[in-house]
Amino acid sequence: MAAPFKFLWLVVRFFGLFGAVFLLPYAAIVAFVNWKALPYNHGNFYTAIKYKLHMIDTVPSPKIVCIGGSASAFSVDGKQLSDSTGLKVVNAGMSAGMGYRSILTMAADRLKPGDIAVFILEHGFYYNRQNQGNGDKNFYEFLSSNPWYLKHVTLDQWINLPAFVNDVTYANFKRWQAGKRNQDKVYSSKGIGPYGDMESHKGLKPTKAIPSVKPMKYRKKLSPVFQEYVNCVFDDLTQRGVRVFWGYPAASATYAWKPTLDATMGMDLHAVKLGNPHEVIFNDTMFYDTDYHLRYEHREKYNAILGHHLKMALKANP
Amino acid sequence: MLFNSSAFAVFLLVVYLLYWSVGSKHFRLQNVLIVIASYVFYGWWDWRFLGLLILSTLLDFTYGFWVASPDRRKARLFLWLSIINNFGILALFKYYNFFASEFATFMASFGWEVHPFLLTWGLPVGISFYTFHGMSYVFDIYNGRQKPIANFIHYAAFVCYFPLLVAGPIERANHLLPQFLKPRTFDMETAKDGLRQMLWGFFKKLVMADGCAIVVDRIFQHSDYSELGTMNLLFAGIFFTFQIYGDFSGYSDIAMGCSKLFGIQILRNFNYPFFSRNIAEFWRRWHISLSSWFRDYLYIPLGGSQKGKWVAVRNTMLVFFVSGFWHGANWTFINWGILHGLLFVPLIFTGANRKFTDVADQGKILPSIGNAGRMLLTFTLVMLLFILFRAENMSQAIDFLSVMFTTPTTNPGAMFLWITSTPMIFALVVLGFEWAAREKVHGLEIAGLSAFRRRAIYIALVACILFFKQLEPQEFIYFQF
Repeated sequence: MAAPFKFLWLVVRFFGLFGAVFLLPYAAIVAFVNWKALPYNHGNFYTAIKYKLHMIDTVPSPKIVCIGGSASAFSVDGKQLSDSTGLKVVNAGMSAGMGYRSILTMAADRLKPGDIAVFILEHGFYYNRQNQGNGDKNFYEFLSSNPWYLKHVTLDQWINLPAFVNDVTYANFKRWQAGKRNQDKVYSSKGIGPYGDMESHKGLKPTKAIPSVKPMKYRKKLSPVFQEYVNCVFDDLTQRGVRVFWGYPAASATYAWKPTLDATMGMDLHAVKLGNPHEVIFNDTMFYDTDYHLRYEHREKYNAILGHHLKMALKANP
Repeated sequence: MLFNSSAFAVFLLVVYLLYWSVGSKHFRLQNVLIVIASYVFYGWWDWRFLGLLILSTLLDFTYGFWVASPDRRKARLFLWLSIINNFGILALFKYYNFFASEFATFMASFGWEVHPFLLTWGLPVGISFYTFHGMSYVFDIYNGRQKPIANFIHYAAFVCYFPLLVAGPIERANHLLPQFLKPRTFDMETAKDGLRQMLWGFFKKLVMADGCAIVVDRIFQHSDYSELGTMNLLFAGIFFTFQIYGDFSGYSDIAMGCSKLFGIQILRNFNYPFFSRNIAEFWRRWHISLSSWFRDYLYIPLGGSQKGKWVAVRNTMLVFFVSGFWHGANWTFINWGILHGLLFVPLIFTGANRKFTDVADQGKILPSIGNAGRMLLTFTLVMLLFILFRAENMSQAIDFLSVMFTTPTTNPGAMFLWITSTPMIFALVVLGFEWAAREKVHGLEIAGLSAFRRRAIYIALVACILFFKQLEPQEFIYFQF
């Protein structure tokens, strides 16, 4: 064998050795811990996501499906949208921490011809170097709750998987040790309304002062990867007979920064845009625990704007 | 294409297999392959700027013939035309918006509102690097150190050689070009060392630099620095210094190591700069290819230090000013360069600029107290100036530094938390390895260790990369230059 190829063989052998002495025992520990911590109890956040995915599967078409992170989950009022459009609504808002690829693929795969997809993705996804939202971290955690969802893992997510195995396993280890697993009532599936809205915020006061939110000022450059990715999904949906709309999430005034919002309007998307992001910037006091979660009692204004634009857009794009 | 992306892993494997399948006898064909691979590598990032890269390559290739003219007047004329061409490209793509905005600000100070046309096509990645490659070729021909190359492919391989295309090291024509004119041989030990150097570079980038970046970004993006206090800001400065070192020297290590796999030696860019005992030594060890480029093509032609101390001071300040400006069209970079120059100047007057040319505490396990103090002082000065480098504008830098020096931290435990934080631990691991290897080319030059120890180190480093790297591939800082 020629020297360059012999060298390559040495490298392959090294990684084989690496797998044998390190990865296999490690994988065994990971599997054991996660097995001990699962299944999640009924109050778990991920149970809510599974329930929403189930809703997309079972609510008959045509229906409006709002797809996004928790901005959609907490700000969209399914009933109000349903009343204004006369269509059935599924609020499939999940968690921005799932990463937009996972959110899009999991929800979009389930849509049927005639459905109306309204994407309400957090601003953090639109930009390069965002420090929240598209880390996929919650998706890996979600995977540990049901390995069946591995089918949604993209090639680069597979490569990144090891980086989060530790975090997920440690979180599950703590659940196992505490004997109570995840009992985060804010995300409890008991708080899901009939349209998939998260209702647990009802009547509660904000848990922390919204001014601690960082303005999105540092976000300057729109991410071409994000645009390309969502457009691929949109093209695919359009071909499958799904109408695709783009909504903007409600955001607090402290967080919003005009030039950044202007830049988001310049995105080249293969979807019908519903209004503009400036319309849905509201007073900080209308939000619950973050700059994206409208308090339950303040959702009406946002949903009136969203519903109005959607109604007009549906008329224009029958 | 980022070195730290899965696409690059596949790309490198394919290019490696094709390159050695062709065989070193057909080195011309290997050069064709390198050029194609380099264009794919570059176009992967943004294919629209490939045309600019090819144009820049063609221009300097052509100027090479004209500058070689025995008629020195004609040669000088074409040398200047080449300089104007190269700087014209840089001025248009990198500096135009800066000057246009500064002009508008200047006019506004007189009450005239000017709205200059601004370019929106963005900065072509690596433009400063490949432009400087081309210029070194023309300068070397003009100075008689290099003959013009008749074959465009060989020249293009030199300019766009993918390991160093987007972030250096800035190569010299008389060093790299001759390697493309003869067969390359595969040496097993060199290739192993190359892979080790790549591993070390990946560790520095993915574990140390990207880990520090999270802390640095959070602190620098904070809306009110006074809430953070001295200790947090000080550690943000320290972490950024580690970040930029891990990021840039990591890139250089990957580039050097990768190049060794192809039987090509490229210039060393870093020589353990944090073990420098004064600023002059730091600049002999930091971004060596740029410092030496300016030394050879600007400082020495202007007279260097041969025409008295005041001329040396003028030339030094000019080099630092240009070096700052090379990094970007922003006052932060320019002031960063000037301030480094001001720290350097006293060393010229005291003659200490050539004082430390050896390896610190050679053969010893620990540095002497004197040297440790000098290294700490140099590191502190470098760290403080890197705050300018990191800031988005001068007002942010001034705000950061003024709060850092005037607002004592309210949390005395912060220091302990920072010192025991994961990025700091990895930074200390890197410094430890590099201190032990300071007489060698890179931190992982461990061929002398037993196979068991070597493998244990490889496994530990690969495991750290797998489990501590950030999910989204982070761009290398020097891509923007």
